[in-house]
Parts: sequence; C-alpha cells; structure tokens
Amino acid sequence: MLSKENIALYAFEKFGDTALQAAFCCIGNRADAEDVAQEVFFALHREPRDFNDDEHLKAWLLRCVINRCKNLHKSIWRRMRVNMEDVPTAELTVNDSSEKEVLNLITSLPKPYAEVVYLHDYEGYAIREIAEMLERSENTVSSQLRRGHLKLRMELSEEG
Amino acid sequence: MRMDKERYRRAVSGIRWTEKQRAAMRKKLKEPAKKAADDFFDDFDEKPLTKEEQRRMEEEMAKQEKRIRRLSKSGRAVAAALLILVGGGVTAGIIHAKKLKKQEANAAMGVFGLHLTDQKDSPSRLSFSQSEQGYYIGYNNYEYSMSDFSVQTDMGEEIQFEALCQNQQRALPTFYDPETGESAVLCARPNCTHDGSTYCTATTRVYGAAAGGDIYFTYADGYLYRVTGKHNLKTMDDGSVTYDDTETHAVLLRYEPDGSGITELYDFGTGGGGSMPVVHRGYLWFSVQLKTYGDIIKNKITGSESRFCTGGYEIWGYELKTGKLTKVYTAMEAPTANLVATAPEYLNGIGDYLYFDTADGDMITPTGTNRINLLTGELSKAPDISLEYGFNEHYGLHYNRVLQGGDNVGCWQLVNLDTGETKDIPNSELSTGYIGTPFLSGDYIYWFQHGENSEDNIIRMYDLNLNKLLGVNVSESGLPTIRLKDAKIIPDIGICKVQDGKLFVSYDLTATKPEYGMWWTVENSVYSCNVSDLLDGKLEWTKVFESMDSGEAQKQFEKAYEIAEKALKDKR
Repeated sequence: MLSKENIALYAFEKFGDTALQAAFCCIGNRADAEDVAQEVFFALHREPRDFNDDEHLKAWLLRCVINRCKNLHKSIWRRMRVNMEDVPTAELTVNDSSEKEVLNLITSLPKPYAEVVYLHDYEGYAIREIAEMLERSENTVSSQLRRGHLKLRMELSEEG
Repeated sequence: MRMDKERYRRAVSGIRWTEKQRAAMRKKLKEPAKKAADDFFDDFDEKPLTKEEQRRMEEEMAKQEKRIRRLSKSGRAVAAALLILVGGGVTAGIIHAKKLKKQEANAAMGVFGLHLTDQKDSPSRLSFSQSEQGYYIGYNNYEYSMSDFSVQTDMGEEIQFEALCQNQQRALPTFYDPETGESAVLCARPNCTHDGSTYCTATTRVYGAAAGGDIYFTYADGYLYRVTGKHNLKTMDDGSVTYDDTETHAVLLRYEPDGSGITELYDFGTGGGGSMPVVHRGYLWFSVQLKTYGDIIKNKITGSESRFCTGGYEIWGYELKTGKLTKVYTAMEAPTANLVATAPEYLNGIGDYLYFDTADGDMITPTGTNRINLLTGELSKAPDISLEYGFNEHYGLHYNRVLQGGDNVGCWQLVNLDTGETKDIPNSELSTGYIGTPFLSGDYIYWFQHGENSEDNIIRMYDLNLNKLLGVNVSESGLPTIRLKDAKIIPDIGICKVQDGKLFVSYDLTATKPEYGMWWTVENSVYSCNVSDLLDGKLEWTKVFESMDSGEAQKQFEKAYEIAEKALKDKR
C-alpha cells in the first residue's frame, strides 16, 4: 500500500511531468495543460488517498487528467487556446524544429485519438488497459488508435 | 518526414514543468490544502488584489446576485451567500450557504407542495423511451469520407491506397413502430438529409448540436421532452456556423411526438444544458447546469487565459398535468476556470425519493449519493456509499440498490441503500475479456463481457444476491451474425433498458480486416428478449430497430476491401 504523508507532493515529484505530458497531448496547448495538471495535484492535495503502488497512482492521475481535459474540451476555454507559435520555445524545451512540427501535429489530433495514441505509444499501455481506463470498448480503442496513427502519418506526409 | 513511435516519444518527453513552475508547485503542495476555489485563483506570488481586479470581482458578484434573483421565480430569497475570498491573492468564490439546512428549512415551510401521482418509470441512462405507439431511440449514424489506408505485401513493402473510411458518428433520434417494423428520423422538415444543418429539426444546432453526441428524449403523456442548451448561432467569415458558450442557455423543450412543434417551455438562464429527464410520480425530473461568464483572467504562472465562471446545478420537477415547475435542489459551487459542479447528472425516482449523485468541484471526486424526500423536501445522504473513482463509475441505481465500482477498481459492489450492506461481485468473474458495463434493473444485474475473441463475448445475468443465473456465449445466444468475405466479425452488446418485462439491448457487429486497417460497424441494431425467457435459458430475440445505414455500411466495407485487394494484386 502506497500511503505517504504528502501523497500529492510525492505524486508531483514522481509523475508531475507525466501528468503535464498527458494533458498536453489531450488538450492541445501548453497553458491549458498546465492548468489541468496542476488542478489534479491540488485535488489530490485536498483529498489525499491511498494507492496500491506507483502504477495505481499513475493510472489514477492519468485518468483524472483525461477526465479534466474532457471537461475543458466542452468549455469555452478551448477557443482561447494558445497556439504553439505563441509559446516561448524555452518553455517547450523542444530542441529542433522537426520535433516542434511533430508536436504541432500531435496537438491537432482529434481528442479521442490523441488520448489513445498517448496512452499507447508513450505510456505503453495495452489496448485492453486503455479500454478499461477510458471506458471504451477494445474495438473502439483499436479503431481510434489506428485512425490516430493514420492521421499523424497523413499530416506528416503532407507537410514533409 | 515520417512519424514513428520514437519520434512521438521524443517530442512528448520535451514537455516538462519549468524549474520555476516546479518550485511553485512544490511550495503550494507543502502548504496545507485549501478549498478548490482558492487553488485556481490563488496567486502564487501572493500579491494583493489590484483595484482593477477588485472591481472585476465585484462586478461578477453583482451579476451573479442578479441572476439568482431572476431565477427565484416565487420571490423567495435564495440563500446563496456571495463571498469574496481574499486569501493571499486573486481569490474569489461563490459559496452556497448551508445547502442542507436550506433544504430542510424549505421543507418545513412546505414550499414543495408537490402533487405526486402513482406514475412510475424505470429510468435509464441511455436514450430509449417508449410511448403507446412505439419506441423513441437515439442512435449514432456513421458518416464516411475518403481516407488513406496502407497494407504490407508479403515482402514487407508498404503500399498505400485510398478508400472510403467510416468516420464520425452523428446522433439521430428516431421513432420505431413495432407493428409495421418501420422507423423514421424525428425530423419535421421535408426532404431533409439530417446532416446537422440548421434546416434539420432532428439534429438542430440551435437546440444542442447533436452531431457526434447523444440525444436524450423522454416520452411522457403524449409529448417528448428534452433538456439541452439553446445556442446563439453565429456565421463566421468562412461561412461556417458556430456558437459561443457564454451565450448558451439551458432550456426545457417539448416536442410533438413526430418531432415537430418544438415548444421552449422554460429558459433557465446561461448554462450548458442538463440531464436526461426521468418521469416519476407525475413529474418530469431533470437537472440543469447553469453558468455565468465573466471577464478574462490571466494566470500569472502559466500565462493561460481563463474566465471567471460561476454557477452550479439545479434539479427541477415539471408537473406534467399543469406545467408547473418546482426547483427541489440547488447546488451552487465555488467558481473554477472552466466548469461548475456538482453533478446531479443522473437522476432516479424511486418511491418517495429522488436520488442523484454529486461530485466535488472537480467533477471527478465523488461526494456520494443523495436523495430528496419528495413529500417533505428533506435532503439526506443515502447510506454511506463511497465511490472511489467518481460518478462516471456509478452505473446503476434502481429501487433500493446501487451498483458501483469499475474495471480499474478491480471489483464491483452492490450496495443496499437502506442498510448500507455491500456485496462484491467475485473477482473471478473479472479475469477474462473486457468487462462491459453492468446494468442494474429491477431484481437483476445484466452484464455483457466482450472482447476480440469469440470466447470473450459472454452474456451474464445475476440476481441481487449475486448468484449467476445466466452465462452464455454470444455466438450461442441466438443473436444473428453475418459473414463477410475474409473479414472477422466482432459482436458488441450494450444495455438499453428493461421495460414491461423485456430486456432491450443494442447489438453492434464490427467487421474488421486488421491487416488492411479496417474496422467498420456494419450492423447497428436493437433487440429485445423477455426477461422470463432469459431466466429459463430461452434466448429468443426480436429485432426492434436497425440503423438506417447498416446495409450501406456492409457495402462500403466490401468496396474498401476490394480496393485493398486490387492494390495488393497490382503490386504483386
């Protein structure tokens, strides 16, 4: 059982970047992603809870981040998104222009695809695990993953 | 340039907190936790409010106060306290004052005065409503567009081809006549293609854009009812039609049963829509989400722009006989940047009570199941139910039982609301396949487990003591399947509703040719079976409804498959 005195701080140290990356991939811009990620850690700070282990904690954080991103997608704030070009490069710590290009493509992915592609390609979750996490059928997840990949490939080839 | 997992990973791994942000977060997380309202608007530099910020806050509160007064139709003062929280920075909030005590006070004053009848309905979270003539079903119709596919030859060479791809879904409300077997989209316009244009009344954009989402109608006493957002449509420079959330209002609508004659019964003010209405004791019960937007505020740490937003949920009862509206619950919450909570999204009328879930301001952390006594107005917590993973996981509430849990929790529990007794569904049942959403209705739990392999597709049924009454593979269930050339067919079952002793299920068949990247839903239908027959092990299904595009979907899948085959053949 993972029971820390300050579980939120522990979670931030351990998975702070993970939460931010997940939020970024799902929401599509850095500023909103930071808001979403920080809200999740504050929520855990307000309502601490025990976790079985680090994996359990990580899965909980990712789920919370994705849920919050969904809420944000429904809201007016999506129209106030900050374009990648507007964010200082230093903050993005992107080293080359092709990576920035890739990031631009990632952020342009439709939301359901973006969530699935992130969880599968970056976090390494299996389709079955993603289906459980997002409460979708495996068929849906497989289909969204395939289409997300297709879209990424298509966009890149157009630009490349 | 070619995208691959490595390039993706490299790009995403560059997204990190800056050291300044990291330090600020650490500092905040080492401090004692504050209320949700404090968190978002708190200024990390702990500067006092500027005069301009103070003025904006006061303006927002004045607007909010005005709105609350306007909504208080009966003239009773709504005891919502408006507080400015200045806790070290730009902190503002609206806190609803002592909700529970207010409800109790209302009850003592006899403000409810509801005229409850014996009318009952078995509510469902999914859109499936029955009238004397037939069924109203909301379903998703697929759209198609050209897309690039790729396939590898035996030598590992990748070739590209273009074919139609099953794309986004569009929700359509339909009526099905079981006597004639005919179905029709609920649209009042002649020659309409229901493409989401402003012409169509079935997918109207003015009253909640239905494209890609669900649409919930409830039939009661000769009319269809719907709670949704009413948008102020704007035509952009490029000719596209859009709307602004800040101008959307939550409204209660009444439709003639043919989808025509839309009457706006009540405008609740700026908001985001509401729940699916449920019928209980002569009333239509629903929740509406209210929001009032203010000026843009810039987060000084992240630089992101957000907007002051206040509001919350309210639960209303619409008396079907008289058309009188009564508000029975108000949950005004502290403001956050982008949403207002709590969340009585799913209502259930059971006996003298109306049950609903609430969540914390984050819309994720559940705060439990509540109930309002419709005779006295008393608001109370249902017996202690802790929902570890949020109200999204709260799948069933029927009579005096609630089914809670989730696949990722590792177990499902059945809770007796009267006694608080819980029973776990054995973990052994969770070990194979993808566990679909269990559904609690009446005296039984229905549970469909599905996966890619045929042995993973199982229909299960339990009693309230969690004894397994049925466990049968879909392939042996009597539900039809189809054969397509070289394609694998995967069935998927979902619960719609249990009504009049019948179980209604949605039944999809997905055709897949994974090596060509093809996954198409080629059958999208609704079947019913008598519950008593299920208990006897007799699985005799009646087709209730079939999606308009099922036949077309098969054709298009086969066409895309032929194109893929030809591309491969040409390459060879």
